[in-house]
Amino acid sequence: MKARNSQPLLRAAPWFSPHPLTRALVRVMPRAKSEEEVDKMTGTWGALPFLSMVVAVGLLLIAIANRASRTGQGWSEPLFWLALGLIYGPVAFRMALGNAGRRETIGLVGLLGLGLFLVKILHSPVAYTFNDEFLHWRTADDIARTGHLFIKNPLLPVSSYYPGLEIATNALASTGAMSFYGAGIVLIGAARLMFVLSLFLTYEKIGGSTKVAGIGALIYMANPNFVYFNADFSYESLSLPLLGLVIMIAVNHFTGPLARRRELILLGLLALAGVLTSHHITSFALTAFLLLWAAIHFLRHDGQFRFSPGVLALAALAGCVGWMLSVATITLEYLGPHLSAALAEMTRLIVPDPEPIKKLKAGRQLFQSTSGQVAPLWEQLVGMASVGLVVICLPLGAWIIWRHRRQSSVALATAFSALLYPVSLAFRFTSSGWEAANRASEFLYLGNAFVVAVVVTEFELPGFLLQPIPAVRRFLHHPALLRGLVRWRAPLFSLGAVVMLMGGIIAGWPPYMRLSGTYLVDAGARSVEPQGVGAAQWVRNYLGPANHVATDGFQILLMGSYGEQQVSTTLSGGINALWLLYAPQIEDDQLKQLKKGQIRYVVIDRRLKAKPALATSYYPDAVMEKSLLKFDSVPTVSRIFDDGNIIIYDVGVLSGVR
Amino acid sequence: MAILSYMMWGYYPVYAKSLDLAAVAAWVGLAMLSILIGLSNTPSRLLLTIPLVIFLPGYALVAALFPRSTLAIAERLTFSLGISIVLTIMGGFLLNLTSWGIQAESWTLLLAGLTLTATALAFMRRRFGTGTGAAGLSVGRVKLLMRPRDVLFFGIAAFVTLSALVVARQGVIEQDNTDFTQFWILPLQDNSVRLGFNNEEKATVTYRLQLQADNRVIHEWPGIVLASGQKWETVYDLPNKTEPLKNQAIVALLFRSDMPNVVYRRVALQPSN
Repeated sequence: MKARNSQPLLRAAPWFSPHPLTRALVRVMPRAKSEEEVDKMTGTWGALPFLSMVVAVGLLLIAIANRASRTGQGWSEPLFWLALGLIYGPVAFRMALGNAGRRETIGLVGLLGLGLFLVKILHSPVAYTFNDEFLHWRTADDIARTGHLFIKNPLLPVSSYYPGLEIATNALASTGAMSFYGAGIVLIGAARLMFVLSLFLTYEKIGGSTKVAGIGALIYMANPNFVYFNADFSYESLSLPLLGLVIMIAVNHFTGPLARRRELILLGLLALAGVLTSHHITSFALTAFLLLWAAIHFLRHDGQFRFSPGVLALAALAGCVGWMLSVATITLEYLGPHLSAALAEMTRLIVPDPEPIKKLKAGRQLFQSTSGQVAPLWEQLVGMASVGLVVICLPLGAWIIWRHRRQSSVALATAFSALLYPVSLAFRFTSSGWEAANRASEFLYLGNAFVVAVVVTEFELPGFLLQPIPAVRRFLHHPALLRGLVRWRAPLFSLGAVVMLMGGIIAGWPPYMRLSGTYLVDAGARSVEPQGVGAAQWVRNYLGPANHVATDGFQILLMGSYGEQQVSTTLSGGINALWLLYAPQIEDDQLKQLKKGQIRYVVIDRRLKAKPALATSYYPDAVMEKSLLKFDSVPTVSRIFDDGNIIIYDVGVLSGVR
Repeated sequence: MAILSYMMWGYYPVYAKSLDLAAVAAWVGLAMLSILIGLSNTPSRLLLTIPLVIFLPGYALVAALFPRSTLAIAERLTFSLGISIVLTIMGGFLLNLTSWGIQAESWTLLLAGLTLTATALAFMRRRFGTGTGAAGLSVGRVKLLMRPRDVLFFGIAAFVTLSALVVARQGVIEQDNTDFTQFWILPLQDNSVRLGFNNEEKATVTYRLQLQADNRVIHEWPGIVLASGQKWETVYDLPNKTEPLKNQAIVALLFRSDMPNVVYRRVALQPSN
């Protein structure tokens, strides 16, 4: 539905203006003698070829920044931000100009989606390094090894029951004789392209214009998890694109040339099945959105039931619940503690010292990591500006949608879901809820992006602000102001969009993981290095797979993936190995844990002595280095592997496992 | 051939309108061949098999469901990618229920079978279906309008992107990680031990290995020269006069020639009795 112009502030100043920068940009690309010729050319590729080069240069700078970071160069981080701005800013500028044709806009959306995906690939270009990637690699490896699904994964048990990602990866890896890493890149890359296109097509249907669609897709890509978390090899990276596909199909069935085509229902149900078997949270989010949309339609159209989204909503609800109750029964056990802790902390913040709630963690300080490191001032300002820009746009966009699009139930549902974003921000003030709020952003941004796009393309100052005050009216219609607004609209928008992107990464990704770099102790991707990988591979080759192993830090992930071991975690029904590893000496409690966990091998990483607080959080008097080497003084424990930092002990005699 | 047919009989043969489906079928056939004959991991195998998983099944199914519809490129691409991935996932659940399980051959048969079936259905619906509308190449009439400058710009973009990947990979290879030597000892059944070490010091190192039983040196291997990346292993049979392995402590010490008095690595087998 197209927006109506009620009280246009800038009616005399069209969205597209022959600004000198515009003319320069046009000259660089198709040579245009006049604006008419530019209009003719917008049916072709427009600025896409040129901007492809610009994005490629940005990616080259990202690669250089990563390479410099590996040698500890201080200029790597400023170069990283500059490169990111170079990738994102010109595309945002081009979209803000408003004269890009549909084909060019679609091309720009695909270019940016894949370009930002490559930012993550350039961070880890040869192997998986992010935490979650090892968890899902283990499931994929189990499928490849056994040829069957639902094999228990000690690193992330619930992953086995949502195996969509790993199934598709296995298909690529086995048919193409590829590594899981290569197959994962191809799969996630294809899903990423499909996702951004489906976003564009959905926003285009809802918003009624290519402009809204392009800007909406652009803004979505500024969400905190788009660049890294949703590009890594984890189940949400596949389920989120499939969610986009379901919504696109549902919207197409609802309106447009394919409306009411029964074939779309089949495709929609197929895509829905893909989501429901790929990720739990995405299933919940999709079900919630479809139900909301169906309910709004039902209420606003006098009880009229539409096949979509009604059928899809009910199918999603039945499928989601059915899958959890019949196959993935472990889901509630996995998610429950996280959600309840977050809710409890929120309650504590709202209602101080409620009686039933005891021993809660203290609230979280913004821009401060768990290790106490505080973000620099400029990062805090950019982070807050990023959130502020979205929060300012939300009520404005909701108002515009209500005024001009309230007949569209999907537009209303999208706007309503966006209004949940400020609520989610409150969770960022809690230690337990920060993660939940961060993970919610990629879902809430689906609505945010549309609402912001509507504001950017359609916002006008309401007439009541203009009419009564002549001085204000004269000021706002002053030619110099109009020229300035027109001239600076596109640059200001692109600057704001870049701030949103940067702020999203600042808020959602720890500083030490934005670039690859030198080894850091217990620091996610920065802890993956040849020595740890080599030890895990040695265990696999010499001790065989599936031994019960107790270890800590990043060794858990390496031993569970490269090593194919049954690392003991409470999540997998084992023990919390840290109570064993950090104990000052082996006593009865530790012997009981060894027996309970059926531990055969203990893997110690001596580099953890650099983080003594890890031990003292379990045993206040523990000295980390002594605790880690206590097994050397136990007469029946063999020290079978030593590479200087990683030591492997055979504790089979103590645990009774042979 | 199509033009000749038109000139002679006044109509286009159906196959000319289903060139895309023919291309899909041919691609599937080549992919099957490359998998079933066990073509190694080469660019050609990747080029053939990747679309078999992430594009062709969805394309064929969409063509079958919408035989007469001119979906735009963006819609068709989105549907093809997404539905292919979903069909692959559902196919995995199906294979899990079979005795073949999930493996390369079963994937090949499943995905190829699915794609070819959908392709055949699409062909039939185009051939015998009612209604008008463009069929054949479902992209419709699209002028790519790629000017030489556009081709140049895209080419430069592709080259620079590949360069970025090379730079990033080189960064990983050249990263100055910690040098280390792995050293291990494992008991074997017949009163012997397996010893080994692996040089990851990025330089050639000369090692000395000393084996002790109950604090007495029972054997030494002096002057073992290993280049970086090389491994040394041996199986040592304990002398008959010594105690069984399970009753004695066996200690192995590794020294470097540039630090002859410093125990560089230490491993030990403790008595289990």
